[in-house]
Amino acid sequence: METEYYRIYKTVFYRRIFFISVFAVVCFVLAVVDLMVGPISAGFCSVLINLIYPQNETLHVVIWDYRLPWTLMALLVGGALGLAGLEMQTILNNPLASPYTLGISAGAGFGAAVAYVFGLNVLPVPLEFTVPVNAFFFAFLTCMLIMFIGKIRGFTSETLVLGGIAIAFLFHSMLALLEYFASEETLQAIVFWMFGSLTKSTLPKAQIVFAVLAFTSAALMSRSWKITALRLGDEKAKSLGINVERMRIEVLIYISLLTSVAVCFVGIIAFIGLVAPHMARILLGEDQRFLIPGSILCGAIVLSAGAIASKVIVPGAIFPVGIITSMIGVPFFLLLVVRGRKHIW
Amino acid sequence: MRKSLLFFCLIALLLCGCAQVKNVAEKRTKTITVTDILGRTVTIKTPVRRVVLLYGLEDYAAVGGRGSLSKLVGINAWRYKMYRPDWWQAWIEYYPEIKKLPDVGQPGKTFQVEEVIKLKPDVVIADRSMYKYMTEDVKRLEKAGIPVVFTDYFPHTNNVTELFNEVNRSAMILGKILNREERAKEVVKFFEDHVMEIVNKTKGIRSKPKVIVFATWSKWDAYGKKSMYNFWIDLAGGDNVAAKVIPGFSGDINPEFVLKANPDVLVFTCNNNFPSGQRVVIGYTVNNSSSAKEALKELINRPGWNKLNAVKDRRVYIIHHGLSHGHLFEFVCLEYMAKWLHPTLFRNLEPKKDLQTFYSKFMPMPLHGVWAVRLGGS
Repeated sequence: METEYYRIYKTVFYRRIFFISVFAVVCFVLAVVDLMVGPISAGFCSVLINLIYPQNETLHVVIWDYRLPWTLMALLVGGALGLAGLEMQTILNNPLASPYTLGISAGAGFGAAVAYVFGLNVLPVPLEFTVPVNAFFFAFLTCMLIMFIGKIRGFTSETLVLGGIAIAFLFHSMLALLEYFASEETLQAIVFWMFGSLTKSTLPKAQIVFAVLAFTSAALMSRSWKITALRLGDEKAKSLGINVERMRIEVLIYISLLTSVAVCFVGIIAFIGLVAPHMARILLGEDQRFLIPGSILCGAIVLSAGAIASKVIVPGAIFPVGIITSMIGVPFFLLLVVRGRKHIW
Repeated sequence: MRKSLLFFCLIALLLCGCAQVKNVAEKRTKTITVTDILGRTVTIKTPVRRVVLLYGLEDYAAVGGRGSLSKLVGINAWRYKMYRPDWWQAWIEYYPEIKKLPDVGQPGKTFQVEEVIKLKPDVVIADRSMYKYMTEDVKRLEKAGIPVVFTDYFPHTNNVTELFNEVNRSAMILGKILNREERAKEVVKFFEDHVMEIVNKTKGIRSKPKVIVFATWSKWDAYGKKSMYNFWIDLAGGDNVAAKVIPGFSGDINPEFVLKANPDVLVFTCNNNFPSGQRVVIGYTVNNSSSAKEALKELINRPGWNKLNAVKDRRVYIIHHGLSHGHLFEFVCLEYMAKWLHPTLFRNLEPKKDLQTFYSKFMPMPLHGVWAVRLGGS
C-alpha cells in the first residue's frame, strides 16, 4: 500500500539518486577533459587510440606515463580526501573537521622531512617510495597517538579534537625544527613536498590509492546506518544499540588509512576534505548510504577540476594544485552555503 | 613608590651599559665613506681591523688576500655549513682558525645582533638579499656605532653593463674597506674579461640550442625567466625553453612540455648533496666524476626521455649550484653554458682551467674537487 510517507521517501530517494548520477557524470567528463589537456595537443580520437595501443609512440608514452596516472590520481586522491573528511566530520560531530584536523598532515609532513633530511626510511623500499613510506608511517603514527589518548580519556569528540590539535602542534614544531637544520636543497625539497602536487603520480601509486579507497568505502558502506545514527548524538545512538566508542575507533582507523595514503603520494592538498562533504551534504542530506558515494564524487570533482586548471593556467608549467583547489572551490562552496538548504549542518 | 624607584634604577643600569659599549670603542680619527649597493652612504673608521662577514668569504679573500682573513672576528658559519658544506670544508682545511670564530648566524634565521655588537667590529659586510631580513638589526648596529655595508654579485639581469656595474661596485667596496683597491680592480678585470670573451663570440649567433635547467631537489622543478641560469644561457647564446612557461625564478614544468620542447641540452644543478640519501656527488670534497655520472643516469630515467635530443646525444650535465651566482667566479657558469651549448665554437674554452686560474691568482687556497660533469664522454 502506498502511504504518504512512502511517496515522500520515494521522491527523496530518487532525488538523491539523481544528484549522485549528476556527480558521476560531471566526474567522468572532467576526467576525460583532464586526459585531453596538455602541451602536446591531440584530438579526442587519437588520445583514445593511443590509450589502447601505441599508434604514436610519444603520445602513447605521454598518455600512459604522464596523463593517465595524473588523471587517476586526481580522481582517487580527491575521492579519498572527500570520504575521509565526511567521516571525520561525522565522528567528531563537527562541521569544521577535515582529514587534517587530527594532525595527520603535520605527521605526514614530518615523515617526509625525516626522509629528506636524514635519508632514513622505516622500511627497505626503492628510492621513489622512501618519502611516501615515511610520510605514511608518520601520518598513521599520528592517528595511533590520538587513539592512545582516546583509549585513556574515552572516545568523545572533545578528546579527539583537543588531542588532535596538541599532536598537530607537536609535529608542526618538530617539522619546523627539521627545516631549521636542513640544508638549502633539503629545505626546498620539503617545501615543494608540502605544497601538494600531482606530478609525483604513477600508475602503481594510483593502484594503491584505489585499493585503499575501494576497501574503506565498502567497509564504511556496510556500516552506513550505524554511522548515520552517530549524527543523532551520542545518547540517541547509544539508545539505538550502537557501541558509539567502538564505532568511532573503527571509522577513525579507516580515515587514517585513507588520509595517510592520499597524503603520502601527493603531499598536502587542503580544502577538499573540508568542502567536498559539505557539498554532498547540502544536496544529499545526512543519509550515509548516499553521502559516502556523494562525498567521494565531490572530492574527485574538485581535485580533477583543480588538476585541469593547474595545467591550463600557465600552459607548459604546472601550477601548484593546492592553491587552485581553494580558489575554485571557495566561490562554489560559498554559493552552496548562501543558496543551499536551510540547515547546512 | 618603591616600584618606580626600582624602575629608575633599572633604567640607570641600562644607560650605564650603553655608555660602556661606547666608551670601549677605539678612538680612530681617519674615516672613509662608501656608498654600498643599496645606495646607503656608510662611514667607516680606518684602518679596518675587525670585520664581521655575513656573506661572500670567497670574494672577501679574493680582494683582501690572505692577510685579510686575520681581520675576521665573526662569520656567518651557519650559511656555509647549511648551504655550501663543501666550501666550508675547504676553508677549514686551509684556515682552521675559521672554526674558532664566533658564528653570528644567518639573517632571517639565526642572526644574533647582540653577538655582533659584542664583537665590536669596525664594519659588518652582508649581501643585498639579507637586507630585508635585518632592517631593524641594521638600525640597532648603527646605533651601537657599527656600520653595515651591503654588496651583491648576483646576476639580476642579462644586461652585461648592469651586471658589470654591480659586480664592480661590490668589489670596489671591499677594496676600499680593506685598502686593496688595485687588487679589487684586478679581480673585476679578470671577471669582465672572461664574460666578454663569451659574449663577444655569442653576439651574432642565430641558431640557439634549446636547453632546460633542472633543480635536483624536486623532480620537475625547472629554472625560469628570472633565474640566473636564464641570464647565463641568454648570454651564452642558448634558448632556455623553460623561461617561456615559468615566468618566475623556478617552478614545476609540465613533463609533457619537456617532451614537446625536445631540448638539445639538459643541465641539472646541485650542491654537494642530494635530498634523501645525502649522496655527495659534486663539489670541493669530491675526487672523481663517477658518482655524478651515476646520479645523472638516475635523473634522466624518466618516461619518454630516451627520445630527447639531449639524451640521445648524451648532452646532459650536472653543475655545482654555487658556481652560478653570488661570487666573483660566477663567470665560470657562463663559460660552462657556452661550452655545452656551442661545443665547436668554444672547443678551446676550458672553464675548469679558468676557475683554477682564478683560484691560483686570487684565492688563498688551491682548487680541488669536481664542479661540472657530463653524462657521456669526459
